[in-house]
Amino acid sequence: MEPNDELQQAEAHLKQAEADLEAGRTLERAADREVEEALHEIRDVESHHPDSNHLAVEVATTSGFYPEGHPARVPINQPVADELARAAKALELTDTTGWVVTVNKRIIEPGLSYEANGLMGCVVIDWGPAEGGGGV
Amino acid sequence: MHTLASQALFQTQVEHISAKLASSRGWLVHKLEYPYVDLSFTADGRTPLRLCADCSEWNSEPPSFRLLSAAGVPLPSNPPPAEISPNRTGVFNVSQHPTTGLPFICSPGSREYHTHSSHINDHWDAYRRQTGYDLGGLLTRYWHAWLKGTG
Repeated sequence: MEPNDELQQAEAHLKQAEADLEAGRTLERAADREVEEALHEIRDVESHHPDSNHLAVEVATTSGFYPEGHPARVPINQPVADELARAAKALELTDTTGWVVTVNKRIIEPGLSYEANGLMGCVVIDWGPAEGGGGV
Repeated sequence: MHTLASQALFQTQVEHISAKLASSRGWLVHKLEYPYVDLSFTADGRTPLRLCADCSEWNSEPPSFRLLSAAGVPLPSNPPPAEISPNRTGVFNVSQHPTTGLPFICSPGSREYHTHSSHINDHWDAYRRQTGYDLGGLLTRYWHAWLKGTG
């Protein structure tokens, strides 16, 4: 092989090596993005999960659920009324006087904490007007 | 009220009677299409109660509610239907309504209540703009009455 041929071959190998390196860097950046997204998803899920000191809470009404999309993570010693107040504001409930708060069809006391109401884990708080009067 | 306005209000108010809410409350939704809301209240150990509301003229007029068995058969006055017995709240009335001849919902928000001779002066107009007297609010009230007063 002539020296000139060797040089051309070496240049071709160098170009191929540079292309391979760039492709590798592109794959590395994509992998980094996937790792970052996975970590974000894990943190997102963990932030809504209950543990011994927190519940995952949703408020259900006929005006919608609060929060929308995922439960809120709240301390077990927080009064239920705090989350109801946030729900009322978000769902634009102007007058909730006399509304009934139930969990699994059991009436609970909104002035007390989740713990005092015997609630833990994942909880759907149903909130709506009481039956009202009846009778002829 | 104009039919289109009534229909638009109906759609807005039934929008959040979602599969998620129905599942959470034990409601079986048979139909949510203007002017009808047709759903059943269910709970463990209870005889389901099916309500079919005709919401024509909503909300210048309250809905007319039919009390039905799970199969969609109108509840009889006699013997007292298991679906609404023992009726501790008095919201469900097993006597024959003067207009329909059938058991009815005897509580504000039901057309049968406001047209009954005993409540003819308790006008729907006094309720229709209050929070908790939209369609979801009425269904929630009657659901609570069913949970509390039957089974």
